[in-house]
Amino acid sequence: MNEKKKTSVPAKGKKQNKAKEIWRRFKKNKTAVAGLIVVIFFILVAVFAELIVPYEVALKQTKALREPPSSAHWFGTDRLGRDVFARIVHGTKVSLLIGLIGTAISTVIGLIIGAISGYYGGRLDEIIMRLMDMIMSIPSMLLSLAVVAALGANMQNLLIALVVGQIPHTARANRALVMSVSGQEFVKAAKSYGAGDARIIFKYLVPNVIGPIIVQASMQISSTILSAAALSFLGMGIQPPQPEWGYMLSEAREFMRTSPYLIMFPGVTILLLSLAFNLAGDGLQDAFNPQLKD
Amino acid sequence: MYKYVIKRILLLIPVLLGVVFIVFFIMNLTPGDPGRLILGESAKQEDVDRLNDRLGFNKPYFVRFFNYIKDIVTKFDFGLSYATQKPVVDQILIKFPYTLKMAIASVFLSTIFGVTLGVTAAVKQYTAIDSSITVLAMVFTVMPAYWTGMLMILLFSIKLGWLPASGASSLKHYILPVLTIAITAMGSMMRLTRSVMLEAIRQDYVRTARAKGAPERRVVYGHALKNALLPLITSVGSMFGGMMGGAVLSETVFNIPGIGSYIVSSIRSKDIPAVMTCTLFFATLFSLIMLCVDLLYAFVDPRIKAKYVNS
Amino acid sequence: MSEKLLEVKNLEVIYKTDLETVRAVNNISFSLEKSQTLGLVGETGAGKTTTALALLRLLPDRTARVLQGEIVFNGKNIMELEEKEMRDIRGEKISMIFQDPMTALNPVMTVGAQIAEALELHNDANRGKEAVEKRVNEVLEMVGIPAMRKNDSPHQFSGGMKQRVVIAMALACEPELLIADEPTTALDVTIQAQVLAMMNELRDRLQTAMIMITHDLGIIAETCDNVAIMYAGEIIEYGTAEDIFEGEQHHPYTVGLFGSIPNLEVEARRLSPIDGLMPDPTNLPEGCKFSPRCPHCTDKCRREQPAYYETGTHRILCHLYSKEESL
Repeated sequence: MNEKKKTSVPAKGKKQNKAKEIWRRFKKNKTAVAGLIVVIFFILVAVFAELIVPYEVALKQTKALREPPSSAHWFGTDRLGRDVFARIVHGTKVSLLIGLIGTAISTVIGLIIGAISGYYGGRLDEIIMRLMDMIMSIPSMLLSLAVVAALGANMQNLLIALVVGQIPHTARANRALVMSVSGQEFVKAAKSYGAGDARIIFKYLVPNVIGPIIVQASMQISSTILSAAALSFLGMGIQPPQPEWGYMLSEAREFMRTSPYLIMFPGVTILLLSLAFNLAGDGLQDAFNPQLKD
Repeated sequence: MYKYVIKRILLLIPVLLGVVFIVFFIMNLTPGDPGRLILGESAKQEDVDRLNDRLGFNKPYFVRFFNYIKDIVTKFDFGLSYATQKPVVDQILIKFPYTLKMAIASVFLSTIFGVTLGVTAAVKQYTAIDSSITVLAMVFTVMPAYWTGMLMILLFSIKLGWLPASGASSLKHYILPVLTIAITAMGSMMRLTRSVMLEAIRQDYVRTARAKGAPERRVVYGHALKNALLPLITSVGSMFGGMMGGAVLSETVFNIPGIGSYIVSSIRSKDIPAVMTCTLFFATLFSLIMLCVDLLYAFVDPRIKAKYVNS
Repeated sequence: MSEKLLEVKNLEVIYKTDLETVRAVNNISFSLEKSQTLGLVGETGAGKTTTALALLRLLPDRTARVLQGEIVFNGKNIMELEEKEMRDIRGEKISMIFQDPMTALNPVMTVGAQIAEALELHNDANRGKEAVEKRVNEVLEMVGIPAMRKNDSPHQFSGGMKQRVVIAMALACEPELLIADEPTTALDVTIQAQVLAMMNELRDRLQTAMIMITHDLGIIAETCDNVAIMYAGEIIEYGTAEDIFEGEQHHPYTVGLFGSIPNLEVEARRLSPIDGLMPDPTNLPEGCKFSPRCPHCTDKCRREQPAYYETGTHRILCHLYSKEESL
């Protein structure tokens, strides 16, 4: 394994080969490919939501209250007579945006904190890690709830809340990653011939941690989506009338007995999207670390 | 060894102070004034101002923070709930047993099933059993807890009529909420167990045990699992943390008067002392659990025990 | 002639994965008599450890396949035994010492418990708890470790001491056959000699038969009655220690092997290593597997698999000598 890492300090041409190799391994994993296809499907739905069904339909209240699925309303209508299918389609955009943006922000901030902490070590590392410990000792769901409660519930604050809850975890993971790479022989070798910090960080550390970070981020997207939906379910996330899956479920709760389809469609959609991200992430992980497979 | 324990407990104090500071900071971002929240919209402005004055809300941030800490340390006073004007601590003590019972039961449940299934998957790697367990585990981890809860109500309460759908008045009432919380945790436990066991069963000492003539059960559970316990114990510890999130959702769905639903209602009504105290309470609890986890290590792994004794 | 303890006939083992088939052991045969020692010599990847694991039926069952062959131990073909019967043999009749003592012991069990486990698993004599403990003390003392250290964990022992524990564990049930897979490779040179001397002494005392796997010809000279030299999964030369160390005729690989050891008595400007590398076991050459590196290689070598050339106890797998015969 060490051998492998040593040779993976990339030259430009090699990098492309490596990506190709990872893609080749990824392709062989059927469940991962299925996950990726579902993810792409959802992305297409989000991008072309307006073409599939106009946003007004998702908001328009009709007299047809809680009607079960029919040819006019594929997924039925909700308590205000709104078309559930249209709401799910437009909810896709919200969930995907939060999942991707939230993960991206917390990954970048976590990487910066983790890299500083892991690379410089010593006192600074100690202080940063104690701070992370403090934040981590508050259950992340509670922390996010508290932040939303303090700032007020809207999309931007929801993102802040999710990111705050995730940063300690990403920072910790990235710190461990940076530390394991900077302990490797090739980094010591580079130091021994006088390479500066900047050179070491960008030439040696970044290329070697980028793979694991991508894997980590891909696995995190689904948990971000799930947390966002959970906060919305509690009324602490996306606010009505904007369609959001978690909030749709909380609205459907009181009609569980009479209109069970109202909880089926949004629930299955959340499950499907997060499962797809997880499967793809798992596949990516295996493709990046073939040695773990056997 | 006990020296190490005392040292760790002392180290908890600055961590918890930090937590108080963070939570205090967050809650102070809230716009609006507490006096208005307590007295309601119809109260006269001068009454509101007088109350704010009396409670010290007009003082600078650090003074208030200092007073808050002082009250906790000297009087064990965490403040009065805005909503009920009663000490928050009393509320928590009434509500905590519900949540604790659920947490313990679900940790127990998810650990037993999670570990057994995870070990089975690892031992049967590359078989249909392994792939079904892996898929099941993944579905469990991504099932939103509140949705799982609703599905179970739909099936067991509405369709079959076997179990009650809300409340906490009998043991029967706990079954569905506990299952709801346990399922998510079970999923991640299965996945973790599988991956640490896959690593463990490839170790040389496992081959040594086989070469000794040990039966497969003993090799897997006696040798490999015993070595894999370390990461598993850690995750059982941190499971308690994740479980609090699960409790918030599960208690909301099943209308259980535990701390989870208390937090949600406090947050909705901007009852800041209640939110702060609950958060602090959980942070303390979680830190203590993680301390126990660290100490448990010493019983499992003699190498770690040696480190503790020497430090 | 004394009775045969172990007889391996035409053993062939491959490792099969989705991507490739590794031909690890190719049609090897050898036998071992009671309380004798056989040396298995060869480079890394020659198939020595695979052979050893096959004897205990501990090959990784997902990838490894035994294509053919019989392993007759005490008159029974162990390839046909039930898994349960096989477990009774492992550790009690045949036990194994592994290469790396640092990882061979379970880090979370005391060494005493690990030795006791072997005894308890094969408790035919129905020893009580105290008797087992007494035996643990005995075997620890036997390998030169004070019995009071049995409650210590592996991390408290040095590498050499750990290997002593592994040896004590392997000998606890007084097996008839001990397989030692490079038992000293991972140790410091000074410790190597100690451990080796101890092993020889115990083998003589307990009358255990032994298969000594090593790439070190010095160890072979000190310990073995018979020697099998392996190359690319085949035994290319087999004979008594005398045949190998003092015989006239040798396989070219054996000659090369001896040539690559420094010798103080014979003055040489430099060592003479064997050119080239061992062939890729997923893609073995046709004909003689040593032919690409052999200084005496002929067309026939490249085409045809050689047969054994036998003189008395000495077997050589090479065309060189059969050619002489036909002349």
